[in-house]
Amino acid sequence: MVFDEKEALMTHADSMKMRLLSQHQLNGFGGVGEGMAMQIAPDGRRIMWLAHEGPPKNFTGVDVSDLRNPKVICQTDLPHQRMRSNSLDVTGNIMVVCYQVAVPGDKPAGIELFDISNPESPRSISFFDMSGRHSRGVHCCWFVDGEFVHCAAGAPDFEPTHLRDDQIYRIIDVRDPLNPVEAGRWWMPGTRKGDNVPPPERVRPMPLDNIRGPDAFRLHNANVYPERPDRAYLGYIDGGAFILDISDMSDMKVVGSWNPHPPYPGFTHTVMPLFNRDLLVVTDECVQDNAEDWPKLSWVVDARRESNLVPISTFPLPSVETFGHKGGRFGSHNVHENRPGPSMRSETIIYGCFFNAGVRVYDISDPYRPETIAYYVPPGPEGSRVPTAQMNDIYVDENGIIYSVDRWAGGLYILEADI
Amino acid sequence: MTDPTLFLAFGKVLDPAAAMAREGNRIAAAGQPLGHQVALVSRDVPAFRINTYGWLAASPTLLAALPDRRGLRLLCRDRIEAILPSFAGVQRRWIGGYLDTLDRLFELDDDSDPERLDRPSDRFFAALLPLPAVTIRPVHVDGAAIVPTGQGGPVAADLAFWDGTRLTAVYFGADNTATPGVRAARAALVDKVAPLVTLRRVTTPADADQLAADMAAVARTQPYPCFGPYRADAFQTPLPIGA
Repeated sequence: MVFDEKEALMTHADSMKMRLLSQHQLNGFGGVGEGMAMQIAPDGRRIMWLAHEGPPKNFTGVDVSDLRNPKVICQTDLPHQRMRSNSLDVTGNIMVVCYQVAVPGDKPAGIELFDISNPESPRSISFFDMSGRHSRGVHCCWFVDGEFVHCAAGAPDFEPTHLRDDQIYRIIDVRDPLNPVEAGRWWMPGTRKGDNVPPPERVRPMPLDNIRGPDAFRLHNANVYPERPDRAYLGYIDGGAFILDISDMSDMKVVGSWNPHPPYPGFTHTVMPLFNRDLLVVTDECVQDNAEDWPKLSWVVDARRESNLVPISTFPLPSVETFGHKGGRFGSHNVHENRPGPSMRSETIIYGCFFNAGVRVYDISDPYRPETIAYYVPPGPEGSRVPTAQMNDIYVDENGIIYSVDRWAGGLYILEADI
Repeated sequence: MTDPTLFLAFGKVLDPAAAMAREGNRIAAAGQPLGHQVALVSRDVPAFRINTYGWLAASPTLLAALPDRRGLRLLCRDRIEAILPSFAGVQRRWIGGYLDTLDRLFELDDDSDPERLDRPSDRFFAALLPLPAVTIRPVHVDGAAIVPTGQGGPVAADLAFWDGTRLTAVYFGADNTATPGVRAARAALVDKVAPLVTLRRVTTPADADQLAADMAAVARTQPYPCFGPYRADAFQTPLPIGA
């Protein structure tokens, strides 16, 4: 019986109003982190750039011009095995790639800028070093205006009060891509040694033998959109959601915040504003297998008054009884972030990836009552360390084509929804 | 009503089908095309203006208590904003700008002639009524019964205006704000009920300003009298100038 269940997980997709157009396992390196960005190359090809979850690969470029026949056109290696890229972003023909090391103090830790005018041969433009005695470098970046990189990064002069609180909000000015410079930084008060407020109370204290993962008050995602270039939307892991006024990047100010942790189990990941509707979509990230940190939710938050954020609903998820023990993680993670460029920008339809619950699409026309309108749960890919697909990141292009990636082995999935 | 007829549910309506079954049938039976949250439009329905009967909830006592025309305009403004659903920030901001445009357009009109029962500034009330968060569905009306036709829909729009000849459905944002299925549904609706519906997209602040200017200009074309905040059914069709 157990064998049959595993067999089913490995061979059958479960779907509603969504179908797989193609899958590419990226030449045997199908573990992808949470960096997905689309480039329209100078010759018109559509290139999906992917940051790998871990070594040995750095990033991969996939020509997705033919949706049913994607081709790997570029795949690069990391300098060593003690680091990962995890995240990247693209504006025009410039790509930013993050480098995070396993142990504070190791190198390279920072961001590297590439000229990808010729997608087959990315050319390094510059590297901005963010290594330091207490820094693991950069986990995540946002680069949509061609001018500033907003990232979760350590700094050589930043000493956290807790080992896992090392990555703060840093804005890097890359208007001169050859010479990136810091434009500003912000951290949650109490997380830096020397702050005049006490460190925050831990939500779910964890031993420090593994500094990856939960029990952290550090930045995950920072999103800044052209609609409000004076606002940054931060997912600050156990610190919750923050809205910052960044009109003066050298002196950023909190204008709103909301944190469901505790009693919820932590790890605010993404804060995505829906500007036309004065709403936020806030996701937590599931970071433990077998539902040990269940429930990890995606929230709809009333942001009509940004100084008084009010949660009004959560996205429905399939039952923990069904998915919690299928293997791997189960729960919220990334959503398609409505970035500018060749990207879907819906404020009523939200696309997310939920690890072993696959890719799920929600209609939040009535934000008090989000509805699941489509999903695709792939079978567990061959070579994965868990029996399920772990859908880790998602990108939706302007034509509604959905690109999602598996964390361990499945690589890139290209999907179409009948919505 | 002549076919094609469009059923519109607007404002705070979360379930357009339920609104059609309840309020839609009521206005159809009453032969009144505009209600608080629903409307029926076809070629024989006059434009929906701020002073079209049916949408404005204000008692005679309240109206009598208002000190002047400005008070009446403010009341209408308040009531229009009250139509909006909670999470319609972009419509709320645009409608605010539209009403500001109307105010600017008519604030210099000379109301000083005591012999005139109507006021030049009353043209504010003849401006087209914005219907926010609207759902559009082709229907056939048979007495009190509203029956959806096979002509597509329901299709949502951020905003709509009925000018007596066509419904302008407004969308804030570029094409990539809608899924392929929604885009196809909009195109099918336009095609099937042509030329009753036109789509207008607002992607830049300049587009928003132009839309406000275009819609406000319709009021300028209205001859006197404009009948203040209420226009009786008999006067739905504008009187010729000098009549």
